Amino acid sequence: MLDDLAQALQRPALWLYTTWIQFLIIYRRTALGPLWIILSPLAFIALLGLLFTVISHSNVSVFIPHMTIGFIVWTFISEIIGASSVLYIRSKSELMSGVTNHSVFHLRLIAKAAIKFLHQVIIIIAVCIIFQVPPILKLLLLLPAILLLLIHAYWVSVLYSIIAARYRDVTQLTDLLLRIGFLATPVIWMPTDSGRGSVIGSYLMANPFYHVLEPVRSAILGTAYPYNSLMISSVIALFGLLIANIFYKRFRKKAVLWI
Amino acid sequence: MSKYLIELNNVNLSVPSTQAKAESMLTNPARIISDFYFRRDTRCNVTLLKNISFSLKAGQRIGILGRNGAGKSTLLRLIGKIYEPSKGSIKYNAEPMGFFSTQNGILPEATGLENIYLRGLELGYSLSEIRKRVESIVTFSGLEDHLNKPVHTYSAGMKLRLAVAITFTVEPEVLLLDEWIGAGDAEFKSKITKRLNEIISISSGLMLASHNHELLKRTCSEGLVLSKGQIMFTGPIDEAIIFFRKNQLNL
Repeated sequence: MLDDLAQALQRPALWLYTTWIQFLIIYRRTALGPLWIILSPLAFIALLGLLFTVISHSNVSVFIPHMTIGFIVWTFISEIIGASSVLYIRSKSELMSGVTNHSVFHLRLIAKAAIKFLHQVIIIIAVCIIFQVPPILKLLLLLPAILLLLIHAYWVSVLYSIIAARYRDVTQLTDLLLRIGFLATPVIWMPTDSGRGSVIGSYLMANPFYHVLEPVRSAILGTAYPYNSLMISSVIALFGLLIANIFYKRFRKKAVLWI
Repeated sequence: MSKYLIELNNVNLSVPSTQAKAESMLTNPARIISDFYFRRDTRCNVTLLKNISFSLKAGQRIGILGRNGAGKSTLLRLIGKIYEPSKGSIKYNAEPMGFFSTQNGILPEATGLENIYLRGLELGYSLSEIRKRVESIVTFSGLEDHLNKPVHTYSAGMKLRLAVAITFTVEPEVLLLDEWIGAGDAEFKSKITKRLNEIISISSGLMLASHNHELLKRTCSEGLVLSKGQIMFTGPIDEAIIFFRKNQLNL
């Protein structure tokens, strides 16, 4: 798996250029173009932020930055999982045309989500300025968190795409998984200091999404850095890569027959 | 014995599939509800290729004969590394490349020019290599006036011209060809034939699956007859064709 990945990484044009053209195509006939990538999460954050601060009486200047970062990272995560579940089916034509290095497809998928993410970072910056989040970006701590996010994206893409190609129920299950994940992870709610903000909060430590999201958010907001989440996330990433590696070796060419 | 380019050893290929029950709403409309909610199709394993062993030696041009569904395309895709054998092994001393369905991988919403770059990258070129070749690709396709239009606005013939022009810049060591590429008007057809013959003469090996016996006779030295995923005959192309014609109905 890593050989193929290294090979694909050496030819960034092969996945970056294609992803870029796909973006061009999506927005070619729209008036606002790529502004849409920013507009729809912006509207969601504004509306929900307003609503929740009224309902829960929480502090706007704490809650909205918290939710903004959470929502945008969550969008990245759900984009990866959602796209993985249909990756092989969507790529059939290219697989049949003789693209044999499957890492190319995974990198394209991640590049697509990453380009969206980078656009939406503008919202995070704007929110941080508006609510005067102290600009002490713990940059050194943000780097491992983002790197881990990308590693997670890679192994999930490999593993989930193969499983979903074999068992079509998995594609149907994805929606459910993402909905529950969204609610179970502190995106639109805040865990209290003890980490037990609600009913779901008691299971927070068992929620892998939380451990992936929290280091990113904490590094930007400058809150107490969750080193234990970073550790748990690293361990999950390691196991994920190992299992994905086995699946990649054994099943990727079979997946082409399953679609 | 001369060195082989590609050697297949007892290769099997099977795939899990589902089979609908014989009794279904198609035979009895009253079953429409029970079929949708309660039908469980039986899972089964379908064998696509069975005990395939042969080798392609340097300079050999093998023609593959067989009726529809015999496994010709599947065999070529397997050799082209799109599939992987379920059992057995394939050894390579040369890099194969298939000109399968050349229009696969073309993005209909992208323009002709964008598709030249997209497909070029997938064929292994770098951006600068493509830039150098764009002019000759465009000339070959004869689509100078349509390059900036999205491909879904092209006619079928134009799409083929574009796809073929991009693919034909490659000169594979071993060429895998699923039916001769031929469509479009007479002028373009002869252009294709000329270039394809050129590519074949440069390559060190060819595998061509076709129903056109005249073409196989002209192009190939050896023949391989497939039936239901198994090899029934291998030998000189003339004998393979005679074998196929004689046993056509039983294969």
